[in-house]
Amino acid sequence: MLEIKNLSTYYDEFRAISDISLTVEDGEFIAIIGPNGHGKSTFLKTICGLLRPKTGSVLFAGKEVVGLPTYKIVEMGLVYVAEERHLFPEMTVLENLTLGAYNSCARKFQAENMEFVFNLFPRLRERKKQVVSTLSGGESRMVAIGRGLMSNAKAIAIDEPSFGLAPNLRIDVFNRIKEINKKGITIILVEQTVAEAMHLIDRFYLMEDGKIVFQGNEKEALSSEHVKQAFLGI
Amino acid sequence: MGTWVRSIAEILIGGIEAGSVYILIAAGLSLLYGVTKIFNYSYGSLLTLGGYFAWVLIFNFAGIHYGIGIVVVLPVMFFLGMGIEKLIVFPLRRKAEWELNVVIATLGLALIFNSLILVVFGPLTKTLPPLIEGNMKIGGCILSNYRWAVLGITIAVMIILWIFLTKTKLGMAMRAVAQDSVGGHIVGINTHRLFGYTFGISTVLAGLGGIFLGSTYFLSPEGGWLFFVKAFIIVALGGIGSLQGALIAAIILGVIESSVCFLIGAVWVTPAWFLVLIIILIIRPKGLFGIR
Repeated sequence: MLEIKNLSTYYDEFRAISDISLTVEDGEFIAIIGPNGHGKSTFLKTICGLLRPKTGSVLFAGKEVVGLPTYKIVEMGLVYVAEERHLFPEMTVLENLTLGAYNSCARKFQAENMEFVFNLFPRLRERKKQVVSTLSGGESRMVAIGRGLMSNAKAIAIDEPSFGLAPNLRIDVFNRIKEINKKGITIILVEQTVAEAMHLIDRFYLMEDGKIVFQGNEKEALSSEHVKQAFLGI
Repeated sequence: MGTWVRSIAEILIGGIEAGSVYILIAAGLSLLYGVTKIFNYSYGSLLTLGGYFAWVLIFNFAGIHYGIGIVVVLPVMFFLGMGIEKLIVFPLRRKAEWELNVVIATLGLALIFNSLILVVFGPLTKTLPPLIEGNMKIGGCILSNYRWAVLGITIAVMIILWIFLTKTKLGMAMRAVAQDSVGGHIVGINTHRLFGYTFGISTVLAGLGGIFLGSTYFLSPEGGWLFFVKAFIIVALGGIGSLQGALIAAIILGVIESSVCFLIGAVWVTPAWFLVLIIILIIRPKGLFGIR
């Protein structure tokens, strides 16, 4: 579904990600972990069209997306859920979710996607008419993920959804993301650590200094000292 | 006692009348800056252009009724606005330092428009005739029908705008991009096309406002600058990002204009406006209803 080759993105002179190549199959749940500031967000933003890479290619469902404006990539089915969320602060939960279905393909499925989002996050159903700037951190994360789902995406790139949450809430978030994955939606998750959710995830990548330094499944991850440091040492 | 009450009533009504003409140009500027974060320095010239377009239609095509003249001008203004966005703003936005470049470019556009008007129409002021003739007498005050028509049309336009912004998808998208433009990208809004529509609507409001201002006061090649400054003061007082704030500020400042005219003299209106703005900004730096 996603084929990334030799991707490099710069901030002026600084090379944030170098020569990244990875592949994600249809329906997979992969996680990119690693310390903060090492390029994980930059990578997600680049494949979703919010940043432009200097070199490399990103093939989504066989089509090149580098250079396309973000809205076209959303139409194609790849959506970014930002760490900063970027919700519309003066609008209600319902309005934010409705806007998630802005593109024409998503509008047909608006009602059923909305139902799925509310079943996944019952708290949002209660707070439908509440203005988003008054929600708690965890709740606004839910809205951000829900809004991504509303675009009828085939693949969702989620940036640190559990950051700053209490441990029991962290597991909750990962479980709900797994629910989304079970629906057939490909998930690319970025997190600092996913220790409590390793069994939910298909494959792991470790990114340090803008480069991939490890890739493998749960067993391989747990048998690597380097990776265990990254998971537990932070 | 009776004359005092009548004076106050005249001031208030005059204020609302003055404010209602300003509402349109304030709304156009507020919408444009709120959504695109671009300060269009040709805004004053655009409102003057609207006035002059109407003048051309009404006086050069003698058979044209005033109302039809207005209806023809509006789509022209819309496409002019979209054209400015497409040809000038968009190419600049992709480069570095776009904010400064857009200011300079729109300033240049203002100079070009004003010079064109000067060359084509000459330096003497022109007036547009009032929409409706005649006066009404209510309780000893004389009110012109024309001013009521302006107020009525302004209210109608604002209601249409409100419905557009809250009930249509495009309108919601505009409000969304105004609140978080990255969020707008994330949900798949084509922000470039949206900016074009925003420029178009903003220019229509400017043009209509210019027509009303042209018939309430007069048209002149450089006259747009004063109204641009006034629109800016209204938007700043109301709070950047708040359309309702701009509306309320327009009425308040209209009443202030009316009072200052009555008590001191018309020249003192603009300084009085600035004074009020500065005082309010010291107390509430975001403006009356500002969210940014």
